[in-house]
Amino acid sequence: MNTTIPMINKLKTYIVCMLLIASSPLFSQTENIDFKSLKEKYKNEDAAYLRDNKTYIIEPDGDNISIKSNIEYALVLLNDKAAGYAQREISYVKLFSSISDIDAYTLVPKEKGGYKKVKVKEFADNNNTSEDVFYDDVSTKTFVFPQPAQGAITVLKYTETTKDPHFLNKFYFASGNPVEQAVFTIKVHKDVDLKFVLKNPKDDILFSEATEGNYKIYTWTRNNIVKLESESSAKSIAYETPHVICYIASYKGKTKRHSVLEDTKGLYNYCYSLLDKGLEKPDAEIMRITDSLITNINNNEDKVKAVYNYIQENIKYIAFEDGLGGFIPRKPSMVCTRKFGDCKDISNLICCMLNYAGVPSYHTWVGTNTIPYRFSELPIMGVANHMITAVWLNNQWYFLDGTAKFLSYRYPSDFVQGKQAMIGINADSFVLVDIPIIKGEVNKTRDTLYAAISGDTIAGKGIKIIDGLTRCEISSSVYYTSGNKVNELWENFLEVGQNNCKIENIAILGLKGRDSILQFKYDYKVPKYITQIDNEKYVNLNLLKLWNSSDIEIEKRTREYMFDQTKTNDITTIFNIPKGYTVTKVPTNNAIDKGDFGFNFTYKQVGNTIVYNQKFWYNSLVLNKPDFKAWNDTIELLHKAYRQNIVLTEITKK
Amino acid sequence: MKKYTLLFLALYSVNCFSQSEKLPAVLVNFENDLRGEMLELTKWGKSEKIYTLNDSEAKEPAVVIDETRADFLEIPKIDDKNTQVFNYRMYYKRIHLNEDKGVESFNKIYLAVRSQIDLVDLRAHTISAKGKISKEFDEKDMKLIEENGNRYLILAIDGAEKGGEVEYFYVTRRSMSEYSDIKIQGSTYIRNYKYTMRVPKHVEYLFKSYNNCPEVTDETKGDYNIYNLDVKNIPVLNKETFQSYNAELMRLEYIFAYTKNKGRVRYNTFADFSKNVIKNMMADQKKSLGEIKKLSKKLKLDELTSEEAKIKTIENWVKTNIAYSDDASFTTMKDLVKNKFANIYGLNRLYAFMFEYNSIKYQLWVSIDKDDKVFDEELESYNFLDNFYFYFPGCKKYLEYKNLGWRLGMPPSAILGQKALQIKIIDLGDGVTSSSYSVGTAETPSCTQTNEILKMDVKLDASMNKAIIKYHAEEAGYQNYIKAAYSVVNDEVKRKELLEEHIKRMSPDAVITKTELKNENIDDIEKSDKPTIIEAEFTASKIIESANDKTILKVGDLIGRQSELYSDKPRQTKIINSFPHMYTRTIAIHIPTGYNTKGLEKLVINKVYQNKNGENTDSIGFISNYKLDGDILTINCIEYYDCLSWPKAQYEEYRTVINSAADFNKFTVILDPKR
Repeated sequence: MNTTIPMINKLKTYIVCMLLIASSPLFSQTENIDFKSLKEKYKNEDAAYLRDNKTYIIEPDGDNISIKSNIEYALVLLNDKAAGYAQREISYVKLFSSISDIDAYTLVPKEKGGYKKVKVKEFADNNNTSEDVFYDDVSTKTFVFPQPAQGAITVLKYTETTKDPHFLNKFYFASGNPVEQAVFTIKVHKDVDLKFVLKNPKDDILFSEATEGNYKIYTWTRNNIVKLESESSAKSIAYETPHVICYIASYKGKTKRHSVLEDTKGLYNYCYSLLDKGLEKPDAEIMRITDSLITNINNNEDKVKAVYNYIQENIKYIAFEDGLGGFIPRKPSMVCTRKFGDCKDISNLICCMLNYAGVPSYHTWVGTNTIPYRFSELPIMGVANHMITAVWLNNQWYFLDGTAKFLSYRYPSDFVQGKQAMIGINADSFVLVDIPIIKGEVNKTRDTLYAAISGDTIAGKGIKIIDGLTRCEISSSVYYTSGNKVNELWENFLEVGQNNCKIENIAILGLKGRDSILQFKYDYKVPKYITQIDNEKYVNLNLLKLWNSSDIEIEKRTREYMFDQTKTNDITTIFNIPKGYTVTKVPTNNAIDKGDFGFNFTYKQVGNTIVYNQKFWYNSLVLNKPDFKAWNDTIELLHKAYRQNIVLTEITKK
Repeated sequence: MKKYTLLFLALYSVNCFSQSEKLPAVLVNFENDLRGEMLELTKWGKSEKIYTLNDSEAKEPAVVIDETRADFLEIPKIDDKNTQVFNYRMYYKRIHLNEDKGVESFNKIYLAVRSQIDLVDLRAHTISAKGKISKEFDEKDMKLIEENGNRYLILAIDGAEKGGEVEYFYVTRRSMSEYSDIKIQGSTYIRNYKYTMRVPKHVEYLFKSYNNCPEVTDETKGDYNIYNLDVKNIPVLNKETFQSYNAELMRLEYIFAYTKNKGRVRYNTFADFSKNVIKNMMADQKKSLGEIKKLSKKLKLDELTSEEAKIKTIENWVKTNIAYSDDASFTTMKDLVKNKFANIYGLNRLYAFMFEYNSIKYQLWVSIDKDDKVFDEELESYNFLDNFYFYFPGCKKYLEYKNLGWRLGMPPSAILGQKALQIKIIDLGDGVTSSSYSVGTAETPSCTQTNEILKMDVKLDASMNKAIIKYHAEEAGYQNYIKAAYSVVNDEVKRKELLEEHIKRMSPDAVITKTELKNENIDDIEKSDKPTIIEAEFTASKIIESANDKTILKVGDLIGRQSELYSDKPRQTKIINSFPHMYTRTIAIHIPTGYNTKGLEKLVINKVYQNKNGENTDSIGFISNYKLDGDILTINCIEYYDCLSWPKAQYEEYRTVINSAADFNKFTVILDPKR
């Protein structure tokens, strides 16, 4: 099982990269299982892990440190459809670790009981690149288990040697298949100061501690682990699934004590030592470009804007991660000439240009929202997987993300909101700052719809104004849409009423503006929208049905919802009462306020118009389980409001 | 390309060159002999000046100013013993980057390779908007990666910017291909396109142009036959809905056809192919007999009376037991059955031997997915021989090897309307086989065979705020989605979710109280080709709106949101329908006591069209009407597409039918209290 967790691959995070399975040293080749009862126990499953084990052995080696892990897993195939599990891979990063002593085989059940061992003979080496990365140096060994029939057990054992003590892996007590038993063991020499923490602890995880000569042995065991289920818009598994994080604070070598990751300062020192390799003074070209950008600009805020916009326009983001290069930024002069870079490369160039322009700017490490840890709690490399630039301006921190093409300098990227940032002030000092969550009232969309009817058609002008993070998101989505599809994208985006709506004469302002609002003006027409019977017309003024399909199946949903952004919407529909008609029914107003979220709908007759205002707000990035009921109550009331029509009655001529 | 074809032919290579004819012993060294000649065909490094674009080019995100591709067949001096012919293939491109989007598309180079050795030369640089040339990259700067099992060399090029240009060339050395295609058109506008093939003069290739591509010219110069193509101003082919994009692209096909020694007798004919494939397929039949006997016995095939039941039993076993992988190597039948892992070649043998042993008459059909290209019988190229199927003349049904969610039955949709090479195996006795072939097309099933039936019985509860719905759906033919999904999903929870998703496609706010499935088991040989029946009961409230004391019943929403063909833009290509299909919907509404219905007249729609092409009887249509019988209002609606393609000139009609379904979504019935 070597599951690679999808990650936002801005900076290397090999620590979170793999769910590794490991090995019990006492493993014997006779498997003593009751297949029948296992099959009954897991009747809906194709396969289950009998063992999912890993043992770290950590000890000083002269003035170095030796870190080996023995990994073993055994997977029982519960039906003949499990043959797909025969294809396997081990992935690792060559620079940080090596793989040896691979022993992979299938235990094929014999008719009269017992097993026959059939070994895997061929292993193929490959460089595999994650989907969202242009290049990284993750290597894989791939192979196929022979004879994967029902009842067979595929066994994989190997040793991983970790070359750099800053990069230990986590151990998760969870998998995409059920696990009978998972055991994580650390055997550590007394001269090594090893720290560990069990995240998201569960009562059924047994911990034991023993001493064996010069070694301490820590063991965590968990039995009968149900498989991980995926749910849409949920937090990453690191937030909820039990896992052990271990790291080496220091160790006593032959001649001296070596500090590795003792505390946040230790982590910073290591990060800075890597960063330092990519620092340089601005070269002539950077100075020339920067000078040209800030001519006649006297205040820092406009300088930031000018430099950041230049970067967004001219430097393309290409995730190019190569060995320790995955942590060391390329030099600014190189990035400037190349016109491309990954997150740390671009942030390095931004820092270089802004500092040259006289605006104090700082390299900043941060974890995206898939990572739950804080630098102040855990001094491990895996806290961060992204790099940005922090600027002190107007008495507050601004966080510039060089990988976000359409972001305003005023906002952080949505995926780092609320995360703790480590801002590198200089070689010796840093500050930890929580990146703010942009408020819903900033991420605001305002719609104004003028509506008039003719026959069974409703039509009019629409104006949509978008601000905050939402506008950046839209500029980005159009940028990545191919030319001939852009119009279709807008037509879908601006759809009013129902699926036969026609959107025409679209005028867009501020699409590339970043710091301005984004505005759409358009004409819409929805034929067959009005129901007319006898002398009455029925008009549903809910032309934009927000949150229409958002109710939660409370009994099924096990995890909370995550949102990328907080949001508010304000829709005003100004409906012209047609001549010769009078309004005989105006729907009732509806409102609900559940704190973080809610809506407020009001109808008002003003002269010969009905003004319908709809406000929606969502002010949190998480919807927690206890709030599901309140959310569903909100949606239920919303549906009720959506089902109401205005009734227009023809005025009878006397 | 054609990895399956190559696999089939692997054991019996048709390397006409090395076996029957010797090339003149001119061994080439790329650096000294070929590099210069190849580059002469291009404008590599000749201009630092940025090209000026005309008005229409200026609207594109990027413009390929020059693209040159060349194939030279030579015997390289790899070592003294080498006599193997290689294909040196050169690509050259100069691209003007007009917009940011263009920069993002062209600041990286991806080369598909088998190993790093493939690449013999590469140079790349950018020219800035001001005409400054960047650092030059070469092949050593390339990184090797693997994505989805394919290997690529990749390079990110420095200095690509808006208004600037990217220029590069590379040369690969690979085994000569005896048949291939060259796709010329794509998503970027090309100003000048050139293709050259240079082969020793005693060798002749055949070329054919498709989709408005000009014809290739040929000449003999010195020791070589040279083929040239020159195309100017190649427009972008935009993607449209209901289109076979790849099949519409301007392209060339070529084949190694004649040699001086063999004269006007062609190489690589369909006859050669049929003979070799069968020879290969049957090669190990005797050796495999033990395993085949054992498996036949295990499946109790002799207890089955009908041939169809035997085929289905074999297919079920293979599809549920043998994992398919391109990477699997074929050893022996015993290993295949034991390791449960096979490539297409292994699957083919397993099936064929099982059919042979159980006296099931079959044919091997070979063709190419109709979405990729149209099978051109006239050219007789192996390039059209990509996918293999079995056809059984006894029951007139087809077997598709790899698709787990599809079983013996109608022709696979990939070959509907598409010609195929039909190979018949002739048993000459004593275990000796021969083959004959013809080219033909499978009969296209009518739309009634893929008829999705939907019946709903709708009652309102006393509050008039909720509809109680009895739901009956039948999925048949090519639209048997639940059955296909269940064939790979075992988990009961996931299965239930799939079923609920199916219902919620129609009624997104359905609160489901009961579901029942019939005929869903694809492995049940009695029912595998019967429609899957989905029955359910649920309540829904979004379809009910209020207006004063009246209730608006949005019956149109009950068929699920229908997509609309938005684009008013002129259609570029003909309309493609993957398979003929239809929808039959019946909605019965119980009118609550004390209410009248209004607004029914709008329920009547009749849009029916005929293909005016004259060559066929294809038709499409949308018909809906209603019947009020006591307090039951029944709405009937039929939507059908009885065609595989529809003429571009009649695009508006296709749109009308598609959009009629979207119009049906708007239907409402007013319930008016009796006064």
